[in-house]
Amino acid sequence: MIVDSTHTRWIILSVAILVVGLITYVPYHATTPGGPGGGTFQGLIYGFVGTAMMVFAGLLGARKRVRIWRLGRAQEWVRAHIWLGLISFPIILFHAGMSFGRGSLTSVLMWLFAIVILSGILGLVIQHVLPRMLLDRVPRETVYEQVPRVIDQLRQEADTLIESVSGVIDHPEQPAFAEASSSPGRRAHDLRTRATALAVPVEGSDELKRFYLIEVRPFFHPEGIPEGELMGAKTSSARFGRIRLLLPRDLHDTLRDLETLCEERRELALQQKLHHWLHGWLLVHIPIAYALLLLSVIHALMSLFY
Amino acid sequence: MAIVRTTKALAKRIDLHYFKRHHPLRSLKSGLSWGAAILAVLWVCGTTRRSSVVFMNGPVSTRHQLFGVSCEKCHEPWGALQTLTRGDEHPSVSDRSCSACHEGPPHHWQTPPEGARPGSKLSGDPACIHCHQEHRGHTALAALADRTCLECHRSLDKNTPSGYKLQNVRTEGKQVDSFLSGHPEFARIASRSGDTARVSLNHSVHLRKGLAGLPQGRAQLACEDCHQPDGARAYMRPVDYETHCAACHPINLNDDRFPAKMLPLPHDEPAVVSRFLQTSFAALVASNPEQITVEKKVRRKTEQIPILGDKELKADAFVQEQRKWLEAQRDAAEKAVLGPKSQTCQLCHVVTQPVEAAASEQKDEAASGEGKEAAAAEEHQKKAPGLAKVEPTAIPARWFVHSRFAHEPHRMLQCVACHTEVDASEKTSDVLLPGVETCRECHRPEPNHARADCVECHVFHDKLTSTHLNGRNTVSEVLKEYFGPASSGAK
Repeated sequence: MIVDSTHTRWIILSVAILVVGLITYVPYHATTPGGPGGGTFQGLIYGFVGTAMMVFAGLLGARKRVRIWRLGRAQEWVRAHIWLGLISFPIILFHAGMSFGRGSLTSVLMWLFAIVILSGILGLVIQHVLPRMLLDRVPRETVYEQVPRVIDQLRQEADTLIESVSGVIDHPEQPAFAEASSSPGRRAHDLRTRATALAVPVEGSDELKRFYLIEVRPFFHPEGIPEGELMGAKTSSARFGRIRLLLPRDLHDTLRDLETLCEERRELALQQKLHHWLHGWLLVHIPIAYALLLLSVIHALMSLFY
Repeated sequence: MAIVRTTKALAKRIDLHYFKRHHPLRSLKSGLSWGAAILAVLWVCGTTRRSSVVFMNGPVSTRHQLFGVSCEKCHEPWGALQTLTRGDEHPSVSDRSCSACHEGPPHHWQTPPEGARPGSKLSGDPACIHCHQEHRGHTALAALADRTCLECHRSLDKNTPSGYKLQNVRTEGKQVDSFLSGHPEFARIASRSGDTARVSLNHSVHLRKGLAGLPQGRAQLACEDCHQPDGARAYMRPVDYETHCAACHPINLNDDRFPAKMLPLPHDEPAVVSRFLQTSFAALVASNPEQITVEKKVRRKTEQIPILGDKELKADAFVQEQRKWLEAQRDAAEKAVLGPKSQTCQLCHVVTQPVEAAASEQKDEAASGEGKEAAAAEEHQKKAPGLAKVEPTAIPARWFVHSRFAHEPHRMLQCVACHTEVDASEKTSDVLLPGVETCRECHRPEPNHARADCVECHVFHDKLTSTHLNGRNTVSEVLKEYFGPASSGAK
């Protein structure tokens, strides 16, 4: 989510809450003997408001999970999640008397809260930067979950391309997406492409075939992000340049097509990497937020009881 | 053969049901979320099995460690909820909880506010935990920040919220911000009323070099020869005649008839001295009956004839003469010791002669509303009718009654470093205590200085009125009280 003018009212609301909190906190801090704490009337009010904001921020997960809820637009929920969640931290700090907790549970709560807030801020920054980077550097972006499938299709296209000039290639690997390849339409497509590939090998294509099987084909493995010369744009170009010198002119077009496929594979690898950054922070943010909410409820109940 | 991608082929790239399948990233996110939540619950359950300390907002203070994990000892159930609903301040720990163990004597009053019962808490007095805040770590609950005291005592000219105003404090309108800023001069010094003790002492003479009667090898008396700390090394013990004065100032009755031509007298009440004199003269006459003489005219001359040699004297008359003689000797000795011109007792004490004593006692009786002085005078007359009266010395045991002081932490200092005017003091009325400025030389709220908090010297509660609420208990009784019957049974 990009922070733009649509966030204005949430920013104003959050700043207003913070200012009110600050204005009430300063005299409270100055006049409370022994320093402010969570057990005083005002401290409990801060705790109540802060917890309410935290719970509301946590409800975003439920809102996303139950898409049929007609409780405002999802984007509005995200905006509220960002700003109320952010402002809940200083409010909880007021509740704690600006301390990071003096007891075991309260200290754990404050550190978890800090991690949630910091990971959230990191996520917000990442979501500002990476989508633009994706747009610029991965023009052939696809659905993240489909990346391995698309890579497998690229491999099949490369296989067909090489077989069209060097005959049937003999490789020990089975297709990564057996279930996809075994679908009726897919199988027919494979048969057609293989039929066209049963051509007489072009003279001098052995070198291309060897290069493909040893270096290029493993590059199209759908799992993980490959390494090696083909992963870098410059090193890949140099490598293809060297191979081009060894091949007859008739095979140069095929080699260019193969290079294009590699380029596409490289983009998908970059997409995968950026996607991990774009969503990886959630692996910290969400689990810690769950633990935080659960422990906050326990803390609130025990604190209200005693 | 070039790669040809038809629209159909491109459309088939995407599996339309991909979102129905589990994706590793989503599964990991879900698993971690559940894992974190379960881990949090397990952590709380695990720590709660041992004790409820995990729920505390910080360890309890040092003195409450014994029952630090028993929340219910202090907290009342759903107390914090009442805070929210009723707006009470700290109701979860009421004064009732504190007073189960602590009597919590009230703030010391010089003069209780009108209508207040001495020893009772005033309506405006703060709740215990208003000042003594728990769960702040291993600290002393009594170690309060200055601002706690200054809530009520910032302006010493005004009444506190409980309607109390400090007496004898001259603040000249200043506000107290700290010991360094606004704290008035100590009242005993600021009042300039002097030392009202009724005893004569010249510090200057006592500290003179080459003083007569000094122990061998000593050129000069030192402060500690007379002023010695009490058991706690906090305050100085009262100067005691036998320990500190007798060596140089013996009390004797000079009389040639006694061995060494003198009679050492006790340092005690006139009545005791009188009885001692009578006993001493009785002993003297028992061993030397010829001492008793009667006046008799012999050949127109009046002579002192020992009664033992008076053969005409009958037994009854002999006893009567003996008694008369003893009383005469005693009276003469009393006059020599307690008389107006005597320098035996009056060297140090204020001695009121019998006539003056009666008048003084009447005056005391009139002045005293409660009749305590009158009762004391009556007692004196019963014990020693017609005797002179040695006035009580009235040396204060503590000078600054609203603060506490300990000499022990100041032991690295010379006495005169603080009591600066001792060497030059010639009068009893000189107040030789250090003033606030002397204390401020070391006690400043700054780094590398001694502490200067209010509670460093002042205590809120009048501990002198404190008692053991539940008496003294055995170890098993205490454990039973704090940890239940199981603990005491183990003993």
